[in-house]
Amino acid sequence: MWRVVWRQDCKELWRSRRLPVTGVLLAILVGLACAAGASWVRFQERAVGDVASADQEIHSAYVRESAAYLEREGAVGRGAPQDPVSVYWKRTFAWLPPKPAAALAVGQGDLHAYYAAFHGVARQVLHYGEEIQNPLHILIGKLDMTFVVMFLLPLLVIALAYDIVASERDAGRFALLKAQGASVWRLSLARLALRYAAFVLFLASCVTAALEVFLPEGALTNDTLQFLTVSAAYIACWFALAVLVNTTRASGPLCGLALIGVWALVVFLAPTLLHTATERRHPLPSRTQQVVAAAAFRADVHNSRSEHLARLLDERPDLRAPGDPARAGHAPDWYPAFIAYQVALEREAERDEAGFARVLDAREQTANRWRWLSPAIVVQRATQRIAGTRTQDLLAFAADVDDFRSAWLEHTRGFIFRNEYLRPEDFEAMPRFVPTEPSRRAASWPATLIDAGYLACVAMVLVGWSVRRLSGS
Amino acid sequence: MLAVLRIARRELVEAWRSRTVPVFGALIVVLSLISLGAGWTRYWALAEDQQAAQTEARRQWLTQGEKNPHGAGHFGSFAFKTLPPLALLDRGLDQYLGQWIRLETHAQHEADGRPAQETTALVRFGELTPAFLLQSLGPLFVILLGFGAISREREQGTLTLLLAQGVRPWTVAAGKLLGHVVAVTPLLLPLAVVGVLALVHPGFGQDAPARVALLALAFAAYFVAFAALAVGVSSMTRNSGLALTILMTIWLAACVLVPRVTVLAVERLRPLPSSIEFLTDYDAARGNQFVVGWGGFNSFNEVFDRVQRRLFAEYGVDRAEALPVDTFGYALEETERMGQRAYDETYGRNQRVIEQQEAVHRTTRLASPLMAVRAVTMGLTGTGLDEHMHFVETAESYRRAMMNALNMDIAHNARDPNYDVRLRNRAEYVRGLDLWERIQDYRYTPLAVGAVLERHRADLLVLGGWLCVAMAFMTVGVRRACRRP
Repeated sequence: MWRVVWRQDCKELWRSRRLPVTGVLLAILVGLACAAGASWVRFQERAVGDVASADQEIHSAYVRESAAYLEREGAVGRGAPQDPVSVYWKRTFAWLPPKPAAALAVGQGDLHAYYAAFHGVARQVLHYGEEIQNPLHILIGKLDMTFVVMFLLPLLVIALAYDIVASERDAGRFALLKAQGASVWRLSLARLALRYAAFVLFLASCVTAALEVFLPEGALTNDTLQFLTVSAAYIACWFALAVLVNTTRASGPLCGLALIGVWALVVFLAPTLLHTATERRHPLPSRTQQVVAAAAFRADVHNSRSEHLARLLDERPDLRAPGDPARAGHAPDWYPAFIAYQVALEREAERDEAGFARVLDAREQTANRWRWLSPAIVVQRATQRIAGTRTQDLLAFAADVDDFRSAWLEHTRGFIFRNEYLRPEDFEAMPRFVPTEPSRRAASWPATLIDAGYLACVAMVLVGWSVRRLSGS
Repeated sequence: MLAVLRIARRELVEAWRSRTVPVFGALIVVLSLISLGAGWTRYWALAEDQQAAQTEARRQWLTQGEKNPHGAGHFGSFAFKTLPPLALLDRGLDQYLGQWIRLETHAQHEADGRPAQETTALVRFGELTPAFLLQSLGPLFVILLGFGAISREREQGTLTLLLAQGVRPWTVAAGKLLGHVVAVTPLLLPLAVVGVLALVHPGFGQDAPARVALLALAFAAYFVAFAALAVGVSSMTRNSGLALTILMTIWLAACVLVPRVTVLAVERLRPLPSSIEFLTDYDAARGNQFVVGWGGFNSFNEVFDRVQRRLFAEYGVDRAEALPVDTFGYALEETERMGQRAYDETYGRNQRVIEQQEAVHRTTRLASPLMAVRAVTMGLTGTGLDEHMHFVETAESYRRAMMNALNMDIAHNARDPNYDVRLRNRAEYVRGLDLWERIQDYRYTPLAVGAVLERHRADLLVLGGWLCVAMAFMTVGVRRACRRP
């Protein structure tokens, strides 16, 4: 019976042109999305490559020029590359290579830094390390697979399945089917199974083929498989919903209308409502007030640098250790006080940032706790987690940068306090940033299965409900 | 005329009876009003916050005590972006743009404090504002109202009856359109509320009522265009289902897909440099002065020597003691100018790329009225990129004037002929409140509504064009439907 139903279903969908049109649209959308996503990943890879090269070049230049200076001048003078103050101004970088899966979910990667530059005096040199983006493009968003899956695939599902049961009712065949003892719910399930399986298989093929063309290293990976798993579960929800809506006595077009209404609710209204509620529930402290308070604090500390220096030296008696006179540098006498001033500012900034981080964390937890409100939110969070492009992932990178900068400062400040210039082995020992490679940031299957499992459960509940309604009709 | 009104009335009754449509419409209106209320409290809290911050920054500047003017340049100040009152209608790009700029010597800082960086990824679904609801869901409501305008009449056989009673095609079209326009009018309620507030509340600018009126016109044109399109498509198709499918496809393409495909195309055609490329260019433009490690102070020594030689030539002297001005002040000003030239060159290049990107966007707005109405909305509410760039430019102009005043004070009043830049043995020259007060406080003045309209002329033309084309399409479609009911 199922073979008969499937053959008939295929013929009808082909005749009504819905099958070929949906297929072509799906292929085009997937192709565009994968191309756009791959383009973004390639851009990030190039940028990160440039950053890594710049970091290496600057470091090598310091080592090279130090040797050349010594050979030329015979002694280390003020402004020499190995002078501790010169080294303090050495620009250093940290970077986060993108995962291939970032092509599927750009996420917050266009809003948060994935590389950073700093030197001893400032964390940000000119740019804050964030990518230069047209803000209108950030507002509109990138055409990536996550967008296609969340927003557009449900519409293609609706186009394929809006009259999955209602077509029989509208054509007056319901009574005929019942008279022949055919089971309406079995028929509906058979159609559902065929359309769903065909849709998902075609989607998986298109995604794999598109990635093979645009980003071969992202084509057959664990992350891509997880992405497809979540997408398949999400699509199942929409097919199941289409069947449920069809169990009402509404005509096909009216069912389509209702499904579009649910779509607007799920992908537009519910997420924006949750976003608004999250912001109201966890208001951020005022950044503008923090900025002026930090300026006032800066002025106070500037006026009491000697006290801060004394306090620092009490905390860190190792900084009092005298330097090797044979390696005397040319750090001005006021530099240790300047560093003490910086340390005080950094500590204050850490306290402030901790307050903001707590609120942001609370917002993330609330958004996570209520993501079940809308399958679209579940998909967004799941795919960004798989791609490593969530806010938390990028903030974790920012924390790594802070840790690295602390280690770098610890190393270089010692030379200023001792007023010693750096020898080649000191440059060798200087902390260098080691990025976490994408292969070591693979997404975890258990978390993916939880999200996909929730969506699958929703789909099964909807199907069960539909079967019950259809059996009783 | 009476026939038009009767047809319009019937459309309204049918829409009311359908239940889906009034529920959906009511939902949009209610959510718009709720978001307006939330926006109201948020706006005044933020505005007060920004005002307080600007006042505090000014107080800090005035009470910084006595110091060398160059030290005051390092102490610096802040420019805070004033949030426009109409931002409660549309947050526009505000979430993705910095809210303040640090003003100090030797550096042109970026605008900092992007609100979107301190919220969850849910922000990417959109902000719940009246503008978002009207721009994205408004056309959907119009489509649901009008997809069966003619096709349903044809399916039910009532179109033939109507024509048999001597009703002319234009009467049918006008009546249908009028009915839909009246049904859509409640969506503009949030704009009406803001319009009244703009008239009575002193916190709104003088041109706020005009801006709200223009917004209402823009949205009216937007909705009427979609209503005419819906009636046109309905008249061209044999059944309502097909009409709905076509209209949904148009809405999806124009309001959801075209904007994102445009972003993809624009980034391919007119790419911006990466941050690292920009940084490298900027360093090169500044001659790596004060930037990469060693050479920073040596670079200043070179500038000092060059400026001194120039001053010697200008004043016809050959020693520092004979100069009537202080070289140090002029050298500081020269390094400041070098930085500014580098900034203008590199940022100017970026700005030109963004303008080229905007030119591509303007072209694609022909395919997406949502992008046109969004641009107009952001312009009129003061939350677009133009307004932000105006803020950045005024803040930078203020900073340059501020540093120039400080450097020239040193140049004209701090003469220390015994100063040797290599020995750095400068005698301390200090100033106080009298100089700090002479530097005016930073006050941001938004773009005038005339300037906004000038910049968005093309977008207004696109909206007008869409309206005309949709009306023409509707007229042709209804005429055809009436010829072959």
